[in-house]
Amino acid sequence: MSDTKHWNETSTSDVGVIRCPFSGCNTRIITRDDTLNESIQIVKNSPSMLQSTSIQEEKDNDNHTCFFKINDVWDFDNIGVSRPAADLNHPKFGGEDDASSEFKIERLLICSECDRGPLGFAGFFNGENDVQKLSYYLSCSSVVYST
Amino acid sequence: MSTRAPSRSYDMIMKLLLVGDSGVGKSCLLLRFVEDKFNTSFITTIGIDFKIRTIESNGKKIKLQVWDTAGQERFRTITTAYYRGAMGIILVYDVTDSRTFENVETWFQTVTQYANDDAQIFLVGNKCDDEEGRQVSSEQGRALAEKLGILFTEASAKTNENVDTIFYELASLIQEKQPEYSTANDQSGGAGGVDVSKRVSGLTNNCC
Repeated sequence: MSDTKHWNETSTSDVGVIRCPFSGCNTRIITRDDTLNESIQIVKNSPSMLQSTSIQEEKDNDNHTCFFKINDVWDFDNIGVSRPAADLNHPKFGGEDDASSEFKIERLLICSECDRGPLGFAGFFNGENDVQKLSYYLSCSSVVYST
Repeated sequence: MSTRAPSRSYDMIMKLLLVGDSGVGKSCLLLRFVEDKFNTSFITTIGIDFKIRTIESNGKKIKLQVWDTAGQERFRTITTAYYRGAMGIILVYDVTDSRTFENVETWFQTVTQYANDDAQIFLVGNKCDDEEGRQVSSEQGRALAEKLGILFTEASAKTNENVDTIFYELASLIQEKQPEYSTANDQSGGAGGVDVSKRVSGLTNNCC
């Protein structure tokens, strides 16, 4: 794991590969490029996410509410998407254009290979219910980063 | 603002479906059930709808989207939405439950009715680790697959035997049938001698 970094050790202009945080898995999840960096959003009250730092028994950091937003599921290299689940916390998106009221959370994301997570969540905007139109949020602090 | 990579990060995408009777272990072929303190039980409770997996086959980067239809078997009308665009179907039965094997032909007819004509079908006998409980022999499975003109293997989600092979072989077969994506002039072999094209054109019967 020496060649991977945690969220708080990276900058929002870094590019590279986002991976499953578990050593022994480290499956490639998605490419971190400029587009992905520009998609970062603060999300409050999200469902509880796995924290990659606490895997190594480190103290949690304050960035646990940062998420990458991914609109096309095919952008992922490897990801697992749960069935619709009830009783998930309703996330609140930060910023001026908070669209929380139009968002309906439905699913959780896990590593496609080791099935651990949650690494993120997914849901619909504006009353959509076509699974092809899910919007995905990948928790910045649930994954690790490599070049 | 920098631009994104000019081309897509893959050469081909494939939608694959897991179908078969309830209880044959379709979900287990998608979930690995890693047991440790970080693997909370939430995901086994909620279940997986689909996974994206990226593999390399014949030098091409292929993204697979594998859908689990578990829980919807009772609605024989899983149908249209699920089957739409599926390029590969993994038809699963349980080698320790002959009833699930007897239903394979019904599933086959359903699949050929609703899926694209060129969808490739892979028959999988799951739970092959349980020799004591086995009710369906490998020979029976193979004979049925030959009769239907589809690929066949046995697998064990429990021991992970052959599980990845299913996805790789199915992807490779689909790739072969899509000349623009396969390696140049490599149109033969790989399918175990089964001529899938004949099966597709020769099958027009509907059930139900």
